[in-house]
Amino acid sequence: MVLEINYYGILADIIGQNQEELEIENPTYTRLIEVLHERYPQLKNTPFKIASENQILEDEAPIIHHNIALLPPFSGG
Amino acid sequence: MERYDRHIRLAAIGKQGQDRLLSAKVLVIGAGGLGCPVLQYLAAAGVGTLGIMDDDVVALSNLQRQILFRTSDIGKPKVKVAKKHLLALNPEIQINAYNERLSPQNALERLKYYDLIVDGTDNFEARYWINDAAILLEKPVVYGAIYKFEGQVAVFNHQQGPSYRCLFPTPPNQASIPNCEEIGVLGVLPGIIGTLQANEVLKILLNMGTPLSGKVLCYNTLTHKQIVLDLPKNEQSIQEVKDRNSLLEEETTLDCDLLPTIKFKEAITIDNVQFIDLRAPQEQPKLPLEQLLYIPFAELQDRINELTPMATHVFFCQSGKRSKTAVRWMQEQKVSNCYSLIEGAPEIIRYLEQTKTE
Repeated sequence: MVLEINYYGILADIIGQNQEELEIENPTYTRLIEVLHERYPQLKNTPFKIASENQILEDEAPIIHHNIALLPPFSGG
Repeated sequence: MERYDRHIRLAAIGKQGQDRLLSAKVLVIGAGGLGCPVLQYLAAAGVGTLGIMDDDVVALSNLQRQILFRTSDIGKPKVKVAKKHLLALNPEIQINAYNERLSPQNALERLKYYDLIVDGTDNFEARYWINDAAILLEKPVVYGAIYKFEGQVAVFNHQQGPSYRCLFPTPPNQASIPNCEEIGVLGVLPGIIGTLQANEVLKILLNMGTPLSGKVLCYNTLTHKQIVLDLPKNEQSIQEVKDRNSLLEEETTLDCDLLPTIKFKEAITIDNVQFIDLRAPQEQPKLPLEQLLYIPFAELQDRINELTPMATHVFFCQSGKRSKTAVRWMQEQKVSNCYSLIEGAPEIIRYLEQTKTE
């Protein structure tokens, strides 16, 4: 499945873009993290949540929608 | 009630709703970029009791976005200045100014009195203390947080709804997520996000519309892209807070390695100690210390050779965040005898004043 990944906050800074497409077969939460860590080792130091079709996923969940958002915590106020 | 006429004309509010606002008590923690617009709108709306908690003083670099403050307020405690300006806007409300930093020691006591808490802080430690205290006291929290051009808004712990720990169970390593002081922020962003927070506060107090409970709104000022994510409740993370029944002194982070930290009280007893102020030149208050070196955080890498050799280097900033990042970097450079001061500059000033009067 081709996933459209949207990067938020510092993740977009680390990766250098707000959005990209990634092809992953039978994507799951775990598999997506593996692929991302392989492509962008710097991401290992940054926590984030994964949402698919605007639903924040629990760990281990399968990914059935192609629209993905990666949300890091923000601290600024 | 003429002041609130345009509220009262709204069928969803009316005289009854306005009375409810006037009897409501809201605590705003952090009188910064987010806190300023929240406070202004809530004071204007006639929220009867507003608490403001912050231990910082107004700095010149705040004025680009912290719209409650004037140039003539520089150097004065934020909560005092905020109270003055808010009472000028609406003298009919009660304002409680707490010139102190949120801590595990004072959080429960402060939050207890209020119906609703607004999180406008600028650090993860405080965000988790607010979250946990709100769980223990069963208070809703209107959360806002910003990064450069993007913001997040959510309502946590509303009617047993999801909490911040359902989104991020533990705080990240401070160094992995920089704050506004370090990386900059578009001035209007906290205005937008803080106003959205004020909107959520009014919705909850007036029992009107659908609050962002179980949701996280993400907004980007550059693209106007806005998404609202559904946040499932993680019962276990909430239960853990209830079982602990207290606030964690030092939040364990994902990467809480053995970073050497030191208390000011201990640091001043060290022979051959050198304090390094990592704040930008305009940040206040300045500390009356001997052996003090000013190296703004952004210049540290280029000016590392200015440190006195063989001395014990104690880094500090406003909150203790930049100093931790600096010490982590010094460790990577294999510079020994470096410590991050636990307290920020405002706390040290208070400590010095206390010990002077004793």
